[in-house]
Amino acid sequence: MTEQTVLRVENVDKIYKNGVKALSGVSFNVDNGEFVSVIGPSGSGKSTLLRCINRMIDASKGDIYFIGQSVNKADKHQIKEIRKNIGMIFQHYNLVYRLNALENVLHGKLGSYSTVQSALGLYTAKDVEKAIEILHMLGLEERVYEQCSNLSGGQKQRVGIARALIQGPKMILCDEPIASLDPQASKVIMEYLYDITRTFGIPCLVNLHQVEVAKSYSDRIIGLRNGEIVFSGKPGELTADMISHIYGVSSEELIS
Amino acid sequence: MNTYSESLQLNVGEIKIKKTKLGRYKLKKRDSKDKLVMVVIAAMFFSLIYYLGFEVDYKWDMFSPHIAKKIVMDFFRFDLVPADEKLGMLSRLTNTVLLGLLTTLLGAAVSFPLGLLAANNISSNKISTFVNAIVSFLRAVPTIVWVLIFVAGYGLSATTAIVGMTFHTIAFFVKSFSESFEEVDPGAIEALKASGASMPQIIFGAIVPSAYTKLISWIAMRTEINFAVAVVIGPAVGVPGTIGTAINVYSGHANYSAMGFGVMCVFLIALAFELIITRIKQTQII
Repeated sequence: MTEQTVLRVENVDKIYKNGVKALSGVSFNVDNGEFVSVIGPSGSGKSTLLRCINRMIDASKGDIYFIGQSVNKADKHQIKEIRKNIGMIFQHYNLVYRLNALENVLHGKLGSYSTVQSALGLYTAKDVEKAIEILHMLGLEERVYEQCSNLSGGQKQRVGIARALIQGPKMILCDEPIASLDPQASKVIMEYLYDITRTFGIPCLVNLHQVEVAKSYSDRIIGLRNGEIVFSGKPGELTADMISHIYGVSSEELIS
Repeated sequence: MNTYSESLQLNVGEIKIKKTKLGRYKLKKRDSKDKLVMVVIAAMFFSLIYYLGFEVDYKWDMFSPHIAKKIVMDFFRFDLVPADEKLGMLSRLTNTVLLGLLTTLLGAAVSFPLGLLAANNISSNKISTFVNAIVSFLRAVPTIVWVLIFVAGYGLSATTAIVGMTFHTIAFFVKSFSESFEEVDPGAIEALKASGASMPQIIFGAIVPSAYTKLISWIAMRTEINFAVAVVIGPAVGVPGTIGTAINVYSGHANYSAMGFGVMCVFLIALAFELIITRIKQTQII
């Protein structure tokens, strides 16, 4: 393990209560400034893997180390600290649609406030300024006070990214960030994620359905099939044969 | 495209689709549940006919055309009601509306934390089931019965009406509030949890803002119900100064124009509530 390693996943298994084995023996590292994509068919354990990292789901076996801190052995307080340091972006944006963009972005900071402060919306001026700054950076300066239900899909996802960024995260997890977006909005979102990794050096772990997108943005691609890593390497090494091995069908049968 | 539709046509011949007795294709699969529903409906229908036809004692001989005529003639003669009586009636109407509002707001205040406990996406499964079980028992007993139960403790007074009505209001709100909380998008809750927010922060950050308009519309609806209950509760437990008590007294004195005025007041308030609720529901859908 080098200084650069942000996330170390060691031999992680996940067996759900109903007996479904979602992950088995998954091990990999993510270094600082790395853009890593996870590809694989539906049900291959991509989402489970992502949620084990910030312990939204408990791994059954193995361990995950986030900046040297064990995730599985963490107590309640430590889990909160880990979650504060990991930004998460979702397929369905997961915003509170009745609130405006600014309020949703500030939700990323809730973890650092007391219950009373957050209930009354007493955010510090510094955080509000930062939220507006991030919204400007993501091209949403016109939409700061817009109710989130009135935003387009791409804009909603940018609010989601802003919410993750205001946390000042050491890592960003993205669960199929572009699966509900049109091709153009998808490109915008992927560019922003890529820029964030490059400019701020925040590593990104992204679940993706689109193999071509994964190939063009990633430093490294991990292929999951039935909960096992069957491929891990540079985008150039991901051959058509390998893709068909990951998805279990020949690559002609896949929409690229 | 061509080959696809051709193969489809081929399949229709091969697949067996069930038909009804009338020769139409079956669109639904009926099971024993549907039959049970039919049996229950038929049983209720026949018992209703039996009851109306053979059991009810109509007492047509008690009907007096003279009194009926007097009621119809006097009912809308509001000019026969003296002005001071009208004013008195309006103040009683205000009391009644306030009784409805007070019990609703008291109930809502108590029900908010209980609703959070009863929502299964917020509290634990055990607590949620426990609270829901108690509340559904409380709800099964009608408001008026609760009020009559509290007569034992507080006598025939306004306190009895307030406590009894609040009691049933709580049972109603805990159920409706907790369902509103449960309908909140689980994704938003997940997102806040993933950023390190605590449960109270998730409640105030995501759950309450998302459920807010629903809570308001439940409160508006219950205010209307509680107003209606407040009207009839007056004569039932003898709450002085409510419109229901006044109407009851006028009815006893055969003062039909004053009674008509009272009923008209109640009707106008109920109409106003209806309009306000419709308005709230329209603005709520965002």
